[in-house]
Amino acid sequence: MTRFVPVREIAHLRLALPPHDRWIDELTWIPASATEIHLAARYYPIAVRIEDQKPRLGLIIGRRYLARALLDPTGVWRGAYRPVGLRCFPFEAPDIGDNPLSDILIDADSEYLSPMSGTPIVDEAGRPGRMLTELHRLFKLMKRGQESFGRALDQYLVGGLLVPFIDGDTPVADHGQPLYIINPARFAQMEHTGLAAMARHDFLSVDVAIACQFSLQNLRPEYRPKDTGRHGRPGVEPFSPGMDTTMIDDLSLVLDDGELISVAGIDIMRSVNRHEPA
Amino acid sequence: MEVPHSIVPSDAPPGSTPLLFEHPIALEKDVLRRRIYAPLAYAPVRNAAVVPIVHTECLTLASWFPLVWQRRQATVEFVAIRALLNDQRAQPPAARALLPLLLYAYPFVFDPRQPVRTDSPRMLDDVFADAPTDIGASITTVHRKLARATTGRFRLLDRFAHESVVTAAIGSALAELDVLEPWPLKFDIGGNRVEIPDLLVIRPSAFEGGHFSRLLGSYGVPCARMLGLHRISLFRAGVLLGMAKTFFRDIQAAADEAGGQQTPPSAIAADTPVGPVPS
Repeated sequence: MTRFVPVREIAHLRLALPPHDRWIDELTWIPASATEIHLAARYYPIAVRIEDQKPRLGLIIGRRYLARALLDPTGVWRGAYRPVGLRCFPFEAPDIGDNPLSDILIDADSEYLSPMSGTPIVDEAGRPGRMLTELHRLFKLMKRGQESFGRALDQYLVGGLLVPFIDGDTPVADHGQPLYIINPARFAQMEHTGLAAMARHDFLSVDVAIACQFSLQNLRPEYRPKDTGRHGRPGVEPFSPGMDTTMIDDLSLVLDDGELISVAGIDIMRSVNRHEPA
Repeated sequence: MEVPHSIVPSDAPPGSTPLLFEHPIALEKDVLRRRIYAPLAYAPVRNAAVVPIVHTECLTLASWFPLVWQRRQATVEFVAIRALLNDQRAQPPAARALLPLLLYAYPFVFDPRQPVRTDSPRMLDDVFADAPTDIGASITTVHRKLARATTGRFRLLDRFAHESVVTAAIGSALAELDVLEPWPLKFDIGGNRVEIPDLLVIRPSAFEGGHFSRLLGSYGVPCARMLGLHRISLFRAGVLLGMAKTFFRDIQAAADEAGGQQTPPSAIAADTPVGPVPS
């Protein structure tokens, strides 16, 4: 049985991740950070997980659902954008505060902990090492993201913009919690006044809804939502013409399509930089 | 090296919408007996870096190209940036067959002397199809009716004209809101100056307040898609920069292999902005 403990308790060990990323195949959904949603939407379907009536925004990474594989046949990452949630593996941080050693948890019996090899968790003085400090920053980013998403996701629930993510006739769940995706047809039917109300204070809820819709192209076609309108009647309104992603799906991804170019390193790309996730 | 193409004529009259063309001519008399070919048979379609688009194209194009606005005299135009240079080799290979609507209609174009309207005259760009893949089709049949290849492309122009009304109105509203700021796509790549001038993006801080509420109240979902997918699409600029670097590297490698027989790219591009001619 998994027993999560603060990293302080295993600080004498090192993190030894395997040379391949096959562990990703065990995952279905990971939480997303607000700073990465625009970029991640290009590679992953965005889905909402509802836990204790509380919606959380995240990314579907389950292999069976994705239109394009994340790993090559040898289990090596193919080069798509690597989301924050994966960069935090195999740690968790259910309550993030100011102390990395107590905020960040790991399975005490994790196979990725080693007494001899790997990256040290603390430095010689017992302080959080660089890796742990970076992890703490990423967990904080994710927490801030989930807080900022909260109101937007509530609006989607009120507006009936979400539909269960279905595999055949079975709702897909992550850790027993159901997943939901946006219904593009319902979004397309939104009244102007409704959209104006969503954007009354900021653009976030409209922004995320568009990213959710855009991200559905990353699902295999059989998992994309059917054309269901406001009243649940199929065929009320077709997907927008732009939703026909057939052409994109037919194009093979080039290897260098990932964010392999450091936009941050190009000083004349200031405007792009402002949009780059942390 | 192929000389970069210009897609915007420098003598375009103020207020006109610059569309992809080289020598547009009226569709009349003997012109109607000409043959047309698949869009990719024409060099302007393959190479055009900056192409005007309409709001319904965003969802498809944002996966590959930055979708931004370009200033044209007193107006702003919604465009897709397919590459940093007017050369197909500078486009992402997987996206070279993904054409904006206007290019699917080529070689038919709108009359460049007037703004695009639903009743704008259709014209034929008088260009040579340099890479035909089939025998093509005549513009009219032997019975002097428009051929299917012609009517299909006219329908695309109709759709573009219809949707460009809302697209242009949203662009104008953004300009009036004063939320657009310059986007300097300007690089020096190994001594080659590359620049696409007059591009505009929405200032990131504008998304933080309720600036767009009224706009969404007026234009609804098309506006939401344009704004949201504009933001998402900006990340594609990094890919275009990578492709431009690859382009110049390959050109240089070819020149080196030829023993300096070819003109190095720097001699062509160092003093001349590559990309559309400024308006």
